[in-house]
Amino acid sequence: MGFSNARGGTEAILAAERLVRSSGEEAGSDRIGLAQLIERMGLAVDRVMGEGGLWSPELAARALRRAEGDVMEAAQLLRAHRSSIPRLAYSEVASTDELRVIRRISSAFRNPPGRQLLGRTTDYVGRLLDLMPEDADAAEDAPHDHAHEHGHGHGHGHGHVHDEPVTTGDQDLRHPPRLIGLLREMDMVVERRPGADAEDPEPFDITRVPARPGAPRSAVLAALARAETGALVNLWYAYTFSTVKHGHEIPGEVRHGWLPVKVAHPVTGRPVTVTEIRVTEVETIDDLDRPEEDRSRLDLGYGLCFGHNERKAIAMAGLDLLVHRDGGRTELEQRVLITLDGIEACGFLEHLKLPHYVDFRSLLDRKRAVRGSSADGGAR
Amino acid sequence: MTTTLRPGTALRGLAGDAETTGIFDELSRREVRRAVLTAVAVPGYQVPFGSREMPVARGWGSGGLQVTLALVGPEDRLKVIDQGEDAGVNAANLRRLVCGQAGCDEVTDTREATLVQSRHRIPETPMTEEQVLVLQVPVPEPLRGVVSDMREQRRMHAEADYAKMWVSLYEDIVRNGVVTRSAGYPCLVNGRYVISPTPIPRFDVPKLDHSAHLTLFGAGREKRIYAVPPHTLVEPLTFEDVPFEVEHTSGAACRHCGSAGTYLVEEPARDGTIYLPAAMLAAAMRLAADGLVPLHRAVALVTSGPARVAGLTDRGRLVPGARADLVAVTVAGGWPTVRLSHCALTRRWSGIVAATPALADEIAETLRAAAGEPVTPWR
Repeated sequence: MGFSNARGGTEAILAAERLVRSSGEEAGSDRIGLAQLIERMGLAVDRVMGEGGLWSPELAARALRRAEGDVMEAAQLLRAHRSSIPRLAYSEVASTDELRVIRRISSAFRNPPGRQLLGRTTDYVGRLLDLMPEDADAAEDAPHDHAHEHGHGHGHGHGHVHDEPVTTGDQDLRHPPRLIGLLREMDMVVERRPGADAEDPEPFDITRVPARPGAPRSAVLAALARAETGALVNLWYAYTFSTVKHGHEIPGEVRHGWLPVKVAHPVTGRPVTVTEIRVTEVETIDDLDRPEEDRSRLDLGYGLCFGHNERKAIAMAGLDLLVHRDGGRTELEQRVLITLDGIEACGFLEHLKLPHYVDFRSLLDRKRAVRGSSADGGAR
Repeated sequence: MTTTLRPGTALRGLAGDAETTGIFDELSRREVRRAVLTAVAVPGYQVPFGSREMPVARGWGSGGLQVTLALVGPEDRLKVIDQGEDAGVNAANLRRLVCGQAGCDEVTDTREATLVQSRHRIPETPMTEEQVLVLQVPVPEPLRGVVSDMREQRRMHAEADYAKMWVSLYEDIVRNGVVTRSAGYPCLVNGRYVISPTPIPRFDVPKLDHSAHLTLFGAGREKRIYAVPPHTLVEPLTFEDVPFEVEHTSGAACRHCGSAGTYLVEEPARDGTIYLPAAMLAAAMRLAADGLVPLHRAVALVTSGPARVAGLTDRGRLVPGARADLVAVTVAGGWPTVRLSHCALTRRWSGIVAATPALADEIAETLRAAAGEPVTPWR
């Protein structure tokens, strides 16, 4: 008898819960501390925050531990936690001009204003599995007595984030000018900013109003920012090789850094910095090569997500631009808004495991009806 | 207010008392209630709402759960079913979530419930004006199968332009001889909006029409709520000359209670797929097995006997030209199983679902022979 038919479903689910709990208790190894997860599994924690749509390294680490390393499940835990908390306020608009960068690279210019800052990246660390004996490996990995090895007073970020001031000549490399400024000076990008007298609409809050095709760009960006990284990369990849796209975009800049978040003080009304969050920001440049487009200029796509996730931010920027250029001709915008959320896609998939015998019986009934109809010569 | 604030939040206190740990804050519950009111005011219209993530996977009833949590209070009596069953793991899980949150009582008798949350079924016991039914909806958009662009779907609903839906039903009949939509059959509500009544079986669709209770549909993943208010016209889409068909197996009834007027699901048995047999048939078999009367007499007690009493001469006998439904039965453990049936009215064979093709062939052959000439006694 299958589980769905089990009498005493309550007993069954309680027993399943016990099994989950006891396998943790029976494990011989130490429990993983939150600091370990935040510092040593930082990229996974960042993904959980990004897909869960909540900046909180500690809660994300808790979720990741509880989910036994399943990033998607951990993101779902964060989302459900969000639902239990009332929405009290919106932050002030955060300008990424204030980003204090840990890393900043440009693929478009050899030496962009503000310089390249390679920062901490595994991009150039040989992709070789370390096969040292575990004991020796652990000794190598042990903390060194370097002053800047741990934390910088944020208490909620990467353990290995290096962001002490760097200056070259009179340039503050932690606050490089944005590349888009240079491109505008060169008159190389199409103007997409609304005129001076245009309204500045509030961003679309996809957590409060369902975003459907025809929604403003802020809704598309929010959906992309919370998208499941794998789904996002897949959609970007598939469209990159579609017939409407001749080349690939070139990231003007990829930045990873700290961004202050301000809210209006409830008493004084003045903006107060309540926290700093780490974000990855990408501005990507693409050719405008369709007949109806301005062939003399370029356009920019934008990507921003919680934590350090360059894959996500680059794919997001590429898709932001693709959605804009598509202009509603295809269902790309719908796919971005409706299909990229990992919690929704996985939720629907998971629900296939629930009993469906009522509708299955209905399906069998129709199959037999079709046969009965054709046996009668009923299929006209 | 049942709200939660994490310690250290600068704005703590602004939301009033914030002590109870919950899965759904009060402001969100209010928002869902507003969507529910709109849905009731415009029957069948899919109201978008800011669906929250619940502590169950999206697809495990997060929409129904939000509607239920928005309505439920400590004085309520809640029944939760999945596939019509109280005891399934999913129903049990949702029930403990809601009851844990709202402090309400849980019941299994539909008549005692004030609120029923269900997945895929409308309870067999008719519900009253005092009760609310919440159905979990996986895919709320009935037009999804004919148009994929959501902008076009919205236009079609706005203009009540359901031509493509009708064409797809027509094509279905032309290609397949029958309407092949199984569960979640498209229905017109109040003569205005087409809805997908969740994957309830077609058997349950007539229960929606002019029902005494309020039915609310919650789709969490797709972020929509819609409603069938009490005493509202609900018509399954079909043509005048193609009657709407509910799931039906001739001669089948519940193995446990003998009910033939309820929705029956099939259960695989060790010797193959079976239908749950009719109580009358079982009674006839029992009489024969107990040696009280020969089998053909026992069968006559539930066939030609009642026909004669009712004055019906065109049925009850296996003779050429008579309207007789035929069933082929095997008996195991004292209980008969209908293997194959032939409906005299529709002239359709159905239910070739036996353990082996050879057995099915044999039964079918026997029946075809039986249908061609009088056979007494039939066995």
